[in-house]
Amino acid sequence: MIDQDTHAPTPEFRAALERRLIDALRAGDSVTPITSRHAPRRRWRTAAAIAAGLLLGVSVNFAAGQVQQNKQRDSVVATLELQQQLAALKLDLARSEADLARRKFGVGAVSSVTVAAAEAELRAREIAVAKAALDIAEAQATAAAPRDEMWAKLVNGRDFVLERLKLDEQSASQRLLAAKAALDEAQRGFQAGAVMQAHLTEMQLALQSAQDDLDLLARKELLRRETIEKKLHPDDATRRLQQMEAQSDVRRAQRELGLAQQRLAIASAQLRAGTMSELDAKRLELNLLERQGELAKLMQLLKALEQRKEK
Amino acid sequence: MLTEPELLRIYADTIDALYAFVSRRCGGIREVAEDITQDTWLRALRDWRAHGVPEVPIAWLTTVARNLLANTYRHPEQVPLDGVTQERLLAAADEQPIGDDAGVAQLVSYALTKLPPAEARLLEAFHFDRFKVAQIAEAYGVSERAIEGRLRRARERLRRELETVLKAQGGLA
Repeated sequence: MIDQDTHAPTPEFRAALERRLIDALRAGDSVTPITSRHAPRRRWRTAAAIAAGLLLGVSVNFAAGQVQQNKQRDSVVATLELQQQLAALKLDLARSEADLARRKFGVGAVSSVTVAAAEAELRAREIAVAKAALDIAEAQATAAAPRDEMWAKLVNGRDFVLERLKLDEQSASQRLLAAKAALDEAQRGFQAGAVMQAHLTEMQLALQSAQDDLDLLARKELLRRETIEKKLHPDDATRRLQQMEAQSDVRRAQRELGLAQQRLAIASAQLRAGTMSELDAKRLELNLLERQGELAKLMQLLKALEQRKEK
Repeated sequence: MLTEPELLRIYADTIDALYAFVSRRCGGIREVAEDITQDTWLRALRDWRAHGVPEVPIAWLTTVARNLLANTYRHPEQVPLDGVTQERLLAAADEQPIGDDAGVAQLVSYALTKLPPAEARLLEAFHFDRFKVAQIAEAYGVSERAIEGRLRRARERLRRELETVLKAQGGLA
Protein backbone atom coordinates (compact mmCIF):
# COMPACT_ATOMS: atom_id res chain seq x y z
CA MET A 1 0.00 0.00 0.00
CA ILE A 2 1.03 3.54 -0.53
CA ASP A 3 0.85 6.07 2.27
CA GLN A 4 -1.49 9.06 2.26
CA ASP A 5 1.26 11.51 1.27
CA THR A 6 1.68 9.73 -2.07
CA HIS A 7 -0.86 12.00 -3.66
CA ALA A 8 0.59 15.19 -2.17
CA PRO A 9 3.46 17.09 -3.83
CA THR A 10 6.76 17.11 -1.96
CA PRO A 11 7.79 20.51 -0.51
CA GLU A 12 10.84 20.43 -2.79
CA PHE A 13 8.72 19.96 -5.89
CA ARG A 14 6.22 22.62 -4.81
CA ALA A 15 8.93 25.18 -4.18
CA ALA A 16 10.91 24.36 -7.32
CA LEU A 17 7.90 24.59 -9.61
CA GLU A 18 6.81 27.86 -8.01
CA ARG A 19 10.27 29.27 -8.52
CA ARG A 20 10.31 28.16 -12.18
CA LEU A 21 6.93 29.72 -12.82
CA ILE A 22 7.95 33.04 -11.30
CA ASP A 23 11.18 33.03 -13.29
CA ALA A 24 9.22 32.24 -16.45
CA LEU A 25 6.70 34.98 -15.76
CA ARG A 26 9.47 37.52 -15.16
CA ALA A 27 11.38 36.41 -18.23
CA GLY A 28 8.21 36.60 -20.29
CA ASP A 29 9.03 33.21 -21.67
CA SER A 30 8.69 29.55 -20.95
CA VAL A 31 11.45 27.74 -19.09
CA THR A 32 13.21 24.45 -19.10
CA PRO A 33 11.44 21.96 -16.90
CA ILE A 34 12.93 21.29 -13.45
CA THR A 35 14.04 17.90 -14.62
CA SER A 36 13.21 15.78 -17.58
CA ARG A 37 13.21 12.52 -15.72
CA HIS A 38 10.04 11.12 -17.15
CA ALA A 39 10.08 9.57 -20.55
CA PRO A 40 7.27 7.33 -21.71
CA ARG A 41 7.75 4.05 -19.87
CA ARG A 42 8.47 1.13 -22.14
CA ARG A 43 7.80 -2.41 -21.27
CA TRP A 44 10.69 -3.76 -23.28
CA ARG A 45 13.97 -2.22 -22.38
CA THR A 46 17.43 -2.67 -23.81
CA ALA A 47 18.08 -6.35 -24.34
CA ALA A 48 21.68 -5.94 -23.24
CA ALA A 49 20.62 -4.46 -19.96
CA ILE A 50 18.24 -7.31 -19.30
CA ALA A 51 20.90 -9.84 -20.13
CA ALA A 52 23.44 -8.06 -17.94
CA GLY A 53 20.93 -7.88 -15.11
CA LEU A 54 20.21 -11.62 -15.34
CA LEU A 55 23.87 -12.53 -15.55
CA LEU A 56 24.82 -10.41 -12.61
CA GLY A 57 21.91 -11.68 -10.60
CA VAL A 58 20.45 -8.25 -9.97
CA SER A 59 16.96 -7.17 -10.87
CA VAL A 60 16.17 -6.26 -14.45
CA ASN A 61 14.62 -3.03 -13.31
CA PHE A 62 17.78 -2.05 -11.51
CA ALA A 63 19.91 -2.76 -14.58
CA ALA A 64 17.54 -0.82 -16.79
CA GLY A 65 17.55 2.01 -14.27
CA GLN A 66 21.33 2.10 -14.32
CA VAL A 67 21.38 2.26 -18.11
CA GLN A 68 18.84 5.04 -18.07
CA GLN A 69 20.81 6.93 -15.42
CA ASN A 70 24.05 6.60 -17.37
CA LYS A 71 22.34 7.74 -20.56
CA GLN A 72 20.90 10.71 -18.75
CA ARG A 73 24.26 11.59 -17.21
CA ASP A 74 25.98 11.40 -20.62
CA SER A 75 23.30 13.54 -22.18
CA VAL A 76 23.39 16.22 -19.45
CA VAL A 77 27.19 16.31 -19.37
CA ALA A 78 27.39 16.54 -23.18
CA THR A 79 25.08 19.57 -23.14
CA LEU A 80 27.08 21.22 -20.37
CA GLU A 81 30.35 20.55 -22.16
CA LEU A 82 29.02 22.35 -25.20
CA GLN A 83 28.15 25.30 -22.99
CA GLN A 84 31.62 25.20 -21.50
CA GLN A 85 33.21 25.29 -24.97
CA LEU A 86 31.06 28.27 -25.85
CA ALA A 87 32.04 29.97 -22.58
CA ALA A 88 35.71 29.32 -23.39
CA LEU A 89 35.34 30.93 -26.81
CA LYS A 90 33.72 33.98 -25.25
CA LEU A 91 36.57 34.12 -22.74
CA ASP A 92 39.15 34.19 -25.55
CA LEU A 93 37.27 37.05 -27.17
CA ALA A 94 37.03 38.98 -23.89
CA ARG A 95 40.74 38.45 -23.28
CA SER A 96 41.61 39.91 -26.70
CA GLU A 97 39.32 42.87 -26.10
CA ALA A 98 40.83 43.55 -22.67
CA ASP A 99 44.36 43.45 -24.19
CA LEU A 100 43.27 45.85 -26.90
CA ALA A 101 41.68 48.21 -24.36
CA ARG A 102 44.87 48.24 -22.26
CA ARG A 103 47.02 49.00 -25.32
CA LYS A 104 44.69 51.80 -26.39
CA PHE A 105 44.74 53.21 -22.86
CA GLY A 106 48.56 53.13 -23.01
CA VAL A 107 48.54 55.52 -25.98
CA GLY A 108 45.71 57.65 -24.58
CA ALA A 109 43.10 56.48 -27.08
CA VAL A 110 40.56 55.32 -24.45
CA SER A 111 39.82 56.18 -20.82
CA SER A 112 40.40 54.06 -17.73
CA VAL A 113 36.65 53.41 -17.70
CA THR A 114 36.91 51.44 -20.94
CA VAL A 115 39.75 49.39 -19.47
CA ALA A 116 37.80 48.74 -16.25
CA ALA A 117 34.74 47.68 -18.25
CA ALA A 118 36.81 45.34 -20.45
CA GLU A 119 38.46 43.82 -17.38
CA ALA A 120 35.11 43.33 -15.70
CA GLU A 121 33.87 41.55 -18.82
CA LEU A 122 37.01 39.40 -18.88
CA ARG A 123 36.54 38.44 -15.25
CA ALA A 124 32.87 37.63 -15.88
CA ARG A 125 33.88 35.34 -18.75
CA GLU A 126 36.52 33.60 -16.63
CA ILE A 127 33.87 33.00 -14.00
CA ALA A 128 31.43 31.66 -16.59
CA VAL A 129 34.02 29.06 -17.59
CA ALA A 130 34.62 28.15 -13.94
CA LYS A 131 30.87 27.82 -13.38
CA ALA A 132 30.53 25.59 -16.42
CA ALA A 133 33.20 23.31 -14.94
CA LEU A 134 31.28 23.23 -11.65
CA ASP A 135 28.07 22.34 -13.47
CA ILE A 136 29.80 19.46 -15.23
CA ALA A 137 31.24 18.16 -11.96
CA GLU A 138 27.79 18.27 -10.38
CA ALA A 139 26.10 16.57 -13.33
CA GLN A 140 28.71 13.82 -13.31
CA ALA A 141 28.07 13.24 -9.63
CA THR A 142 24.26 13.29 -9.78
CA ALA A 143 23.43 12.21 -13.34
CA ALA A 144 21.03 15.15 -13.45
CA ALA A 145 21.04 18.79 -14.42
CA PRO A 146 22.77 21.06 -11.86
CA ARG A 147 20.45 22.41 -9.18
CA ASP A 148 20.66 25.92 -7.93
CA GLU A 149 17.84 26.11 -5.41
CA MET A 150 18.66 27.36 -1.94
CA TRP A 151 17.47 24.06 -0.51
CA ALA A 152 19.31 21.82 -2.98
CA LYS A 153 21.10 19.02 -1.14
CA LEU A 154 24.86 18.75 -0.85
CA VAL A 155 26.36 16.42 -3.43
CA ASN A 156 28.77 13.98 -1.80
CA GLY A 157 29.39 16.62 0.86
CA ARG A 158 30.09 19.32 -1.72
CA ASP A 159 28.04 22.50 -1.79
CA PHE A 160 27.78 23.40 -5.47
CA VAL A 161 25.18 26.08 -4.80
CA LEU A 162 27.50 27.95 -2.46
CA GLU A 163 30.47 27.53 -4.81
CA ARG A 164 28.47 29.09 -7.63
CA LEU A 165 27.37 31.96 -5.40
CA LYS A 166 31.00 32.68 -4.51
CA LEU A 167 31.91 32.83 -8.18
CA ASP A 168 29.00 35.19 -8.81
CA GLU A 169 30.27 37.32 -5.95
CA GLN A 170 33.69 37.64 -7.59
CA SER A 171 32.05 38.74 -10.82
CA ALA A 172 29.85 41.26 -8.98
CA SER A 173 32.91 42.69 -7.19
CA GLN A 174 34.55 43.30 -10.53
CA ARG A 175 31.42 45.02 -11.85
CA LEU A 176 31.39 47.21 -8.74
CA LEU A 177 34.98 48.30 -9.43
CA ALA A 178 34.07 49.13 -13.04
CA ALA A 179 31.04 51.13 -11.86
CA LYS A 180 33.22 53.07 -9.42
CA ALA A 181 35.67 53.91 -12.19
CA ALA A 182 32.81 55.06 -14.42
CA LEU A 183 31.39 57.26 -11.64
CA ASP A 184 34.80 58.82 -10.90
CA GLU A 185 35.17 59.78 -14.52
CA ALA A 186 31.60 61.13 -14.69
CA GLN A 187 32.25 63.26 -11.60
CA ARG A 188 35.40 64.70 -13.15
CA GLY A 189 33.48 65.43 -16.36
CA PHE A 190 30.65 67.04 -14.44
CA GLN A 191 33.02 69.30 -12.50
CA ALA A 192 34.61 70.34 -15.78
CA GLY A 193 31.17 71.04 -17.25
CA ALA A 194 31.50 68.31 -19.87
CA VAL A 195 28.89 65.95 -18.42
CA MET A 196 25.19 66.53 -17.70
CA GLN A 197 23.69 66.02 -14.25
CA ALA A 198 21.46 63.22 -15.57
CA HIS A 199 24.49 61.25 -16.77
CA LEU A 200 26.17 61.68 -13.41
CA THR A 201 23.03 60.47 -11.65
CA GLU A 202 22.90 57.49 -13.98
CA MET A 203 26.45 56.54 -13.05
CA GLN A 204 25.59 56.91 -9.35
CA LEU A 205 22.63 54.62 -9.84
CA ALA A 206 24.78 52.09 -11.69
CA LEU A 207 27.17 52.06 -8.75
CA GLN A 208 24.33 51.58 -6.28
CA SER A 209 22.94 48.75 -8.37
CA ALA A 210 26.33 47.05 -8.50
CA GLN A 211 26.61 47.41 -4.72
CA ASP A 212 23.09 46.03 -4.33
CA ASP A 213 23.92 43.01 -6.48
CA LEU A 214 26.93 42.30 -4.31
CA ASP A 215 24.91 42.69 -1.10
CA LEU A 216 22.22 40.40 -2.44
CA LEU A 217 24.78 37.72 -3.22
CA ALA A 218 26.23 38.01 0.28
CA ARG A 219 22.75 37.60 1.75
CA LYS A 220 22.09 34.62 -0.50
CA GLU A 221 25.28 33.03 0.75
CA LEU A 222 24.13 33.49 4.35
CA LEU A 223 20.73 32.04 3.51
CA ARG A 224 22.30 29.06 1.79
CA ARG A 225 24.48 28.34 4.83
CA GLU A 226 21.50 28.69 7.14
CA THR A 227 19.36 26.43 4.93
CA ILE A 228 21.93 23.66 5.11
CA GLU A 229 22.89 24.10 8.77
CA LYS A 230 19.37 24.54 10.15
CA LYS A 231 17.72 22.32 7.53
CA LEU A 232 15.24 25.03 6.60
CA HIS A 233 12.03 23.92 4.95
CA PRO A 234 12.29 24.39 1.14
CA ASP A 235 9.19 26.60 1.17
CA ASP A 236 10.76 28.87 3.80
CA ALA A 237 14.10 29.05 2.02
CA THR A 238 12.36 29.87 -1.26
CA ARG A 239 10.10 32.46 0.37
CA ARG A 240 13.05 34.20 2.02
CA LEU A 241 15.02 34.20 -1.22
CA GLN A 242 12.06 35.64 -3.10
CA GLN A 243 11.69 38.35 -0.46
CA MET A 244 15.36 39.27 -0.74
CA GLU A 245 15.16 39.45 -4.51
CA ALA A 246 11.92 41.40 -4.42
CA GLN A 247 13.39 43.91 -1.92
CA SER A 248 16.39 44.35 -4.18
CA ASP A 249 14.12 44.79 -7.21
CA VAL A 250 12.06 47.38 -5.33
CA ARG A 251 15.18 49.40 -4.44
CA ARG A 252 16.31 49.28 -8.06
CA ALA A 253 12.87 50.32 -9.31
CA GLN A 254 12.79 53.21 -6.80
CA ARG A 255 16.13 54.46 -8.04
CA GLU A 256 15.06 54.19 -11.67
CA LEU A 257 11.88 56.08 -10.84
CA GLY A 258 13.96 58.83 -9.21
CA LEU A 259 16.12 59.06 -12.32
CA ALA A 260 13.06 59.19 -14.59
CA GLN A 261 11.60 62.02 -12.45
CA GLN A 262 14.86 63.93 -12.65
CA ARG A 263 15.04 63.50 -16.43
CA LEU A 264 11.48 64.66 -16.82
CA ALA A 265 12.12 67.76 -14.69
CA ILE A 266 15.13 68.64 -16.87
CA ALA A 267 13.10 67.93 -20.01
CA SER A 268 10.29 70.26 -18.84
CA ALA A 269 12.81 73.08 -18.44
CA GLN A 270 14.30 72.30 -21.85
CA LEU A 271 10.84 72.19 -23.40
CA ARG A 272 10.06 75.64 -22.02
CA ALA A 273 13.40 76.89 -23.35
CA GLY A 274 12.63 75.36 -26.74
CA THR A 275 15.65 73.02 -26.71
CA MET A 276 13.62 69.82 -26.58
CA SER A 277 10.81 68.57 -28.79
CA GLU A 278 7.39 67.75 -27.35
CA LEU A 279 7.72 64.21 -28.66
CA ASP A 280 10.93 63.59 -26.69
CA ALA A 281 9.35 65.09 -23.58
CA LYS A 282 6.33 62.76 -24.02
CA ARG A 283 8.66 59.78 -24.27
CA LEU A 284 10.24 60.72 -20.96
CA GLU A 285 6.80 61.13 -19.43
CA LEU A 286 5.85 57.65 -20.66
CA ASN A 287 9.06 56.26 -19.25
CA LEU A 288 8.19 57.77 -15.88
CA LEU A 289 4.74 56.18 -15.96
CA GLU A 290 6.26 52.81 -16.82
CA ARG A 291 8.70 53.07 -13.92
CA GLN A 292 5.82 53.97 -11.57
CA GLY A 293 3.83 50.96 -12.81
CA GLU A 294 6.78 48.65 -12.38
CA LEU A 295 7.44 49.87 -8.88
CA ALA A 296 3.78 49.42 -7.90
CA LYS A 297 3.85 45.87 -9.26
CA LEU A 298 7.00 45.02 -7.35
CA MET A 299 5.67 46.53 -4.13
CA GLN A 300 2.54 44.40 -4.53
CA LEU A 301 4.66 41.28 -5.02
CA LEU A 302 6.80 42.09 -2.01
CA LYS A 303 3.71 42.57 0.11
CA ALA A 304 2.29 39.24 -1.06
CA LEU A 305 5.56 37.51 -0.24
CA GLU A 306 5.76 39.10 3.20
CA GLN A 307 2.24 37.96 3.99
CA ARG A 308 3.06 34.34 3.29
CA LYS A 309 3.39 32.38 6.46
CA GLU A 310 6.40 30.49 7.61
CA LYS A 311 6.15 26.69 7.58
CA MET B 1 -2.33 40.36 -17.67
CA LEU B 2 -1.14 37.72 -15.20
CA THR B 3 0.73 39.30 -12.29
CA GLU B 4 3.14 37.60 -9.90
CA PRO B 5 0.90 37.97 -6.82
CA GLU B 6 -1.99 36.50 -8.80
CA LEU B 7 0.18 33.64 -10.02
CA LEU B 8 1.40 32.93 -6.47
CA ARG B 9 -2.13 32.96 -5.12
CA ILE B 10 -3.55 30.62 -7.77
CA TYR B 11 -0.57 28.33 -7.47
CA ALA B 12 -0.94 28.09 -3.70
CA ASP B 13 -4.69 27.48 -4.04
CA THR B 14 -4.49 24.76 -6.68
CA ILE B 15 -1.18 22.92 -6.54
CA ASP B 16 -2.29 20.30 -3.99
CA ALA B 17 -5.55 19.57 -5.76
CA LEU B 18 -3.91 19.41 -9.18
CA TYR B 19 -1.11 17.15 -8.00
CA ALA B 20 -3.57 14.81 -6.26
CA PHE B 21 -5.73 14.72 -9.40
CA VAL B 22 -2.75 13.66 -11.51
CA SER B 23 -1.19 11.38 -8.92
CA ARG B 24 -4.35 9.33 -8.40
CA ARG B 25 -4.63 8.75 -12.14
CA CYS B 26 -1.06 7.53 -12.49
CA GLY B 27 -1.18 5.38 -9.39
CA GLY B 28 1.06 7.63 -7.28
CA ILE B 29 4.09 7.30 -9.59
CA ARG B 30 5.86 10.43 -8.42
CA GLU B 31 7.99 11.10 -11.48
CA VAL B 32 4.96 10.91 -13.78
CA ALA B 33 2.83 13.03 -11.45
CA GLU B 34 5.54 15.69 -11.12
CA ASP B 35 6.22 15.87 -14.85
CA ILE B 36 2.56 16.18 -15.76
CA THR B 37 1.83 18.70 -13.00
CA GLN B 38 4.80 20.77 -14.12
CA ASP B 39 3.90 20.55 -17.79
CA THR B 40 0.31 21.56 -16.99
CA TRP B 41 1.45 24.65 -15.10
CA LEU B 42 3.94 25.72 -17.78
CA ARG B 43 1.14 25.48 -20.35
CA ALA B 44 -1.13 27.44 -18.04
CA LEU B 45 1.44 30.19 -17.75
CA ARG B 46 1.82 30.49 -21.51
CA ASP B 47 -1.92 30.46 -22.11
CA TRP B 48 -2.94 32.74 -19.24
CA ARG B 49 -0.31 35.29 -20.12
CA ALA B 50 -1.74 35.50 -23.62
CA HIS B 51 -5.46 35.11 -22.90
CA GLY B 52 -5.96 35.93 -19.24
CA VAL B 53 -6.72 33.74 -16.24
CA PRO B 54 -9.81 31.52 -16.68
CA GLU B 55 -12.74 31.95 -14.35
CA VAL B 56 -12.10 28.64 -12.58
CA PRO B 57 -8.34 27.96 -12.80
CA ILE B 58 -8.49 24.50 -11.25
CA ALA B 59 -10.98 23.38 -13.90
CA TRP B 60 -8.65 24.61 -16.63
CA LEU B 61 -5.67 22.92 -15.00
CA THR B 62 -7.35 19.55 -14.51
CA THR B 63 -8.64 19.55 -18.08
CA VAL B 64 -5.14 20.12 -19.44
CA ALA B 65 -3.69 17.57 -17.02
CA ARG B 66 -6.27 15.01 -18.14
CA ASN B 67 -5.26 15.53 -21.77
CA LEU B 68 -1.59 15.18 -20.91
CA LEU B 69 -2.33 11.99 -18.99
CA ALA B 70 -4.27 10.69 -21.97
CA ASN B 71 -1.26 11.39 -24.19
CA THR B 72 0.99 9.58 -21.74
CA TYR B 73 -1.23 6.52 -21.63
CA ARG B 74 -2.42 6.54 -25.22
CA HIS B 75 -0.21 3.63 -26.22
CA PRO B 76 -0.36 0.34 -24.33
CA GLU B 77 3.40 -0.18 -24.68
CA GLN B 78 3.87 2.92 -22.49
CA VAL B 79 1.95 1.30 -19.67
CA PRO B 80 4.00 -0.87 -17.30
CA LEU B 81 2.43 -4.26 -16.77
CA ASP B 82 4.92 -5.67 -14.31
CA GLY B 83 3.31 -6.94 -11.16
CA VAL B 84 -0.30 -6.43 -12.28
CA THR B 85 -2.48 -9.53 -11.93
CA GLN B 86 -5.44 -10.29 -14.13
CA GLU B 87 -7.75 -10.53 -11.13
CA ARG B 88 -6.75 -7.17 -9.71
CA LEU B 89 -7.03 -5.47 -13.08
CA LEU B 90 -10.49 -6.81 -13.85
CA ALA B 91 -11.62 -6.05 -10.30
CA ALA B 92 -10.95 -2.40 -11.15
CA ALA B 93 -13.91 -2.52 -13.50
CA ASP B 94 -16.11 -3.68 -10.63
CA GLU B 95 -17.75 -1.49 -8.12
CA GLN B 96 -15.00 -0.52 -5.73
CA PRO B 97 -12.77 2.52 -6.30
CA ILE B 98 -9.23 1.78 -7.46
CA GLY B 99 -6.78 1.37 -4.59
CA ASP B 100 -3.21 2.53 -4.55
CA ASP B 101 -2.02 -0.02 -7.08
CA ALA B 102 0.13 1.96 -9.49
CA GLY B 103 0.03 -0.62 -12.28
CA VAL B 104 -3.75 -1.00 -12.16
CA ALA B 105 -4.29 2.77 -11.98
CA GLN B 106 -2.13 3.35 -15.04
CA LEU B 107 -3.82 0.59 -17.03
CA VAL B 108 -7.24 1.95 -16.15
CA SER B 109 -6.05 5.43 -17.22
CA TYR B 110 -5.01 3.90 -20.52
CA ALA B 111 -8.34 2.08 -20.95
CA LEU B 112 -10.25 5.27 -20.15
CA THR B 113 -8.67 6.98 -23.17
CA LYS B 114 -10.55 4.42 -25.32
CA LEU B 115 -13.96 5.21 -23.81
CA PRO B 116 -16.36 7.96 -24.87
CA PRO B 117 -15.41 11.11 -22.88
CA ALA B 118 -18.68 11.26 -20.91
CA GLU B 119 -18.31 7.69 -19.67
CA ALA B 120 -14.64 8.21 -18.93
CA ARG B 121 -15.45 11.28 -16.77
CA LEU B 122 -18.06 9.35 -14.86
CA LEU B 123 -15.69 6.48 -14.15
CA GLU B 124 -12.91 8.88 -13.19
CA ALA B 125 -15.17 10.61 -10.71
CA PHE B 126 -16.04 7.27 -9.15
CA HIS B 127 -12.77 5.35 -9.36
CA PHE B 128 -10.12 8.05 -8.97
CA ASP B 129 -11.80 10.95 -7.23
CA ARG B 130 -13.82 8.59 -5.05
CA PHE B 131 -17.05 10.48 -5.24
CA LYS B 132 -20.10 8.66 -3.98
CA VAL B 133 -22.98 7.92 -6.34
CA ALA B 134 -25.12 10.45 -4.48
CA GLN B 135 -22.49 13.19 -4.98
CA ILE B 136 -22.13 12.41 -8.68
CA ALA B 137 -25.93 12.39 -9.08
CA GLU B 138 -26.12 15.80 -7.42
CA ALA B 139 -23.36 17.19 -9.62
CA TYR B 140 -25.03 15.87 -12.78
CA GLY B 141 -28.49 16.90 -11.59
CA VAL B 142 -29.98 13.44 -12.11
CA SER B 143 -31.20 10.65 -9.86
CA GLU B 144 -28.86 8.20 -8.17
CA ARG B 145 -30.58 5.43 -10.05
CA ALA B 146 -29.73 7.09 -13.36
CA ILE B 147 -26.08 7.42 -12.33
CA GLU B 148 -25.95 3.80 -11.24
CA GLY B 149 -27.26 2.78 -14.67
CA ARG B 150 -24.69 4.93 -16.48
CA LEU B 151 -21.92 3.66 -14.24
CA ARG B 152 -22.90 0.06 -14.93
CA ARG B 153 -22.76 0.59 -18.68
CA ALA B 154 -19.48 2.50 -18.45
CA ARG B 155 -17.97 -0.25 -16.29
CA GLU B 156 -18.95 -2.88 -18.84
CA ARG B 157 -17.19 -0.91 -21.52
CA LEU B 158 -14.14 -0.42 -19.29
CA ARG B 159 -14.05 -4.14 -18.60
CA ARG B 160 -14.07 -4.88 -22.33
CA GLU B 161 -11.20 -2.45 -22.87
CA LEU B 162 -9.21 -4.02 -20.05
CA GLU B 163 -9.85 -7.49 -21.48
CA THR B 164 -8.56 -6.24 -24.82
CA VAL B 165 -5.36 -5.12 -23.10
CA LEU B 166 -5.05 -8.56 -21.50
CA LYS B 167 -5.52 -10.30 -24.81
CA ALA B 168 -3.04 -8.05 -26.56
CA GLN B 169 -0.42 -8.76 -23.93
CA GLY B 170 -1.15 -12.50 -23.82
CA GLY B 171 -2.32 -12.47 -20.21
CA LEU B 172 -0.67 -10.96 -17.17
CA ALA B 173 1.35 -12.07 -14.22
